[in-house]
Amino acid sequence: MVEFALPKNSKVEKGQVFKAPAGAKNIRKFHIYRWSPDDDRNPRIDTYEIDTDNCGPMVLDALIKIKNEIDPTLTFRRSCREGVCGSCAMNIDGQNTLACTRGMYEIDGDVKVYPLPHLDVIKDLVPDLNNFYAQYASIKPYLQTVSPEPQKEWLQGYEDRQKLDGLYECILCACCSSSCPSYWWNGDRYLGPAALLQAYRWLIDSRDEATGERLDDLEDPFRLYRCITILNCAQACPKGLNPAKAIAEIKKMMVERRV
Amino acid sequence: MSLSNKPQFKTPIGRVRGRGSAKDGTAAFWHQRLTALALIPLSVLCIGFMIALTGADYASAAAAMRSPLAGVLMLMFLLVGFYHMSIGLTHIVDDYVHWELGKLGLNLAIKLGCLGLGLACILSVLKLSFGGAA
Repeated sequence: MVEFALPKNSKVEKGQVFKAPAGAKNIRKFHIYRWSPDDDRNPRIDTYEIDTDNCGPMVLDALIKIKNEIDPTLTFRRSCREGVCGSCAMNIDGQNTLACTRGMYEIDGDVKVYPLPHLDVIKDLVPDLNNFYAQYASIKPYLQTVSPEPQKEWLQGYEDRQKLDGLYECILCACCSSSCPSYWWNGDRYLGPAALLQAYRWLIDSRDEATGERLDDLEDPFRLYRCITILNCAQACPKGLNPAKAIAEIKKMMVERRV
Repeated sequence: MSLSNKPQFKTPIGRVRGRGSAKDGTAAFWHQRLTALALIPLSVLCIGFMIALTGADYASAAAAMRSPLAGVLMLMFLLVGFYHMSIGLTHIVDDYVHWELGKLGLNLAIKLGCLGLGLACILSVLKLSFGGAA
């Protein structure tokens, strides 16, 4: 059954407080989830006071400042720092988003930072995305054809190319899937919004010749039909995409090929 | 939350691919939508029919039920309603129950329960429609 309480060893405790340097005028408090597999301690919330006069405007800027200047043990993923790679996806102020595109100025009061919800934590803000990536791989995210390869390239018309807009931009940050209760309860069998959005991206690609096989693979009470369109995914997506709409389109294709 | 202590030797892609697709689910999805749509007019008509019978005694209510239109309306409402309920409850169990044996048992109970309740209601309607005694 669904677990309504955290297991004993997952109960979050109060952690350390790192005070701002003396003389700092504009202080912002960051409450950050900490957990390490290297000790037997429960997760804890450490508090860092940041002098925002000496820090960039984004949450990621503050995290990097903490790691560089205050606490080098703080662990998180980051790379492009401009919303392209999806590495710094985490739960900020109660919403899954990218730390690099979420401004501190957008958040009232203290900034609360947690790892993406309902995924195993590897350390601090780093979730285990192995299952998530395997789900992406399972939808075969590449062109499948049976026709002989053309000499130059597979051609696609302007209108058909437009159908991929709103889908190809997905950066696989996992903000959507980890915001979805159906994915929380059945993440082992339900593919989740990100993988299904990608599945639809290939289903409607006019160059792909494996639409039937792709639909066959998705037609499953758990893989596809756990989605009940609550739209958390669309609300969470930092790229403004709508995975729920893509999932609804897949369901429409499933029905259309039967009726 | 922490990583599971159990060693997992199966690869992530092996776990995700599992036993493959069940090639099922679209019928339940489609029927749930169709029955939901059908229940909109059916519910309104049934509730209207029941409101019209407010304060009526048993004899006049039974007489009203003898109309073929009322009988068919009630039977359709019951058939569609219990089928819809069965699909919806099964969906909830599939969402929240992760103990496989419990899931099987609950889904069986839902199917039998909806069938039993539906048949009991249908029998009552038929009895009234064909003018049986109270």
